[in-house]
Amino acid sequence: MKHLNTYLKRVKLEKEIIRRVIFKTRFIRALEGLLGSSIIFLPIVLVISNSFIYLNLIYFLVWTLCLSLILWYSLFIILYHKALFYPKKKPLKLVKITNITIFSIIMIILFILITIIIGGQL
Amino acid sequence: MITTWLKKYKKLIIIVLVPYLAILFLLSFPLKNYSVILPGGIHKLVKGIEIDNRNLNNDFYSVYVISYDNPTPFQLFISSLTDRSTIRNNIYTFSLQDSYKMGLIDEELSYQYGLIYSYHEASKIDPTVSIEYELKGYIINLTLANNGKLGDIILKMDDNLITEMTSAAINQYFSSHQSINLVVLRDSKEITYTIKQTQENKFMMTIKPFYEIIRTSPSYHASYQNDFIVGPSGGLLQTLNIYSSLLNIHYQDIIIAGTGTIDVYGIVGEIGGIKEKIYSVNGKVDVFFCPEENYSEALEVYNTIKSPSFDLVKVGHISEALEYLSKKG
Repeated sequence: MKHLNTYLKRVKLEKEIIRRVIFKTRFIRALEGLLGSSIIFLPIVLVISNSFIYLNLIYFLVWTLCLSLILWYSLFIILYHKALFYPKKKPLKLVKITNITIFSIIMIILFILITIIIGGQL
Repeated sequence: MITTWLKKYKKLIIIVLVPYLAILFLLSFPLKNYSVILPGGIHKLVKGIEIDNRNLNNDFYSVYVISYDNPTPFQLFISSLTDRSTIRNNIYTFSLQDSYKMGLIDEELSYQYGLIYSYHEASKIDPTVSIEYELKGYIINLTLANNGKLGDIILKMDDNLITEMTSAAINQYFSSHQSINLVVLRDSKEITYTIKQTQENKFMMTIKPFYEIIRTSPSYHASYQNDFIVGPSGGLLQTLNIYSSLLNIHYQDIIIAGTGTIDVYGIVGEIGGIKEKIYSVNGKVDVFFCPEENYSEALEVYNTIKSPSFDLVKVGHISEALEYLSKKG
């Protein structure tokens, strides 16, 4: 519990650092991060979605898509934080881990539901 | 940050941009007029229909394939890598919505014909089985030149009741008239419009008899509309399933699959994607019924499979399938 409290406090501090930047700048940097991550992950996600014509690989493809989306988001967060204070560097490690973990959990729950729905249809 | 990087890696970006855009094009540009057919799977028929006081306890399976319209160049490429798929260059293309609607109409008709045939034939053996039905009209199940609307049930052609005409008379009527006034049933309302022949001297539409099942004994509940599998090719197996359930015939320990359309007289008709269907059933079933018209192509594919798990049986009429099963079961 003590460790968790310390962790949350440190995350809060890191979030404060980000919030000090005005909203407009944060928004533009987020777009830059999204663009950067999309350049890499858009073709990967398109290859996976194109391969959905092979129905016998559907479960493999669904979970590959899930993993790709998590990696896409992770890269977006990394690039966004990098761009926010570029060329300076700020210690935002914990907020990165927290965001990626929360996103991963949401994606895994969502894709478990999708898998169940697909299973019911096939 | 982006402007700094753009300046720093200007040359590299210019070199990479063209192949990058080409990759995106290959992955996202739909090729109209093309479609890809790939092996699908098998679908237990018990999900489609339930008959009161009857157990549908036979292992009947229909086979589905995946038909993918307007594939991307990448999809076309990966499909061409395997000989288990077929790439078609279509002259006519339909929207996804129309394709699905056509499939739904065909599936509905297939169950109608199957129910009528099964109840009618079963009533000859079991007097408690009966069916009352009437020909309501002819449904438009395909239209290409904005002639009519999918799902319209034709009641009259130039004031002639279509239900009083034979199939040959209807065909003759279509070929001898340039334009026809139709009275159709759409959403339970009667409406009138005119259809005209196109430049190819055709009406560019197909119609099929549409029956209304008034009463059956035992009654049944349909749930086949609750999935994404549509089309007429499950007709043969649906009919076999209903017929054997009505007479409580159980074929022990064999998994039966097949394909083929059905009409109210029990005649099995041609279907598409037979190659993919043969690949779809291998290793999953014990017997596969195949329409007469598709048999030579099916046999060719069957012979390429190293150790097929099933017997390939040619069927022109449903009675041939029943005969085969009675010998087996």
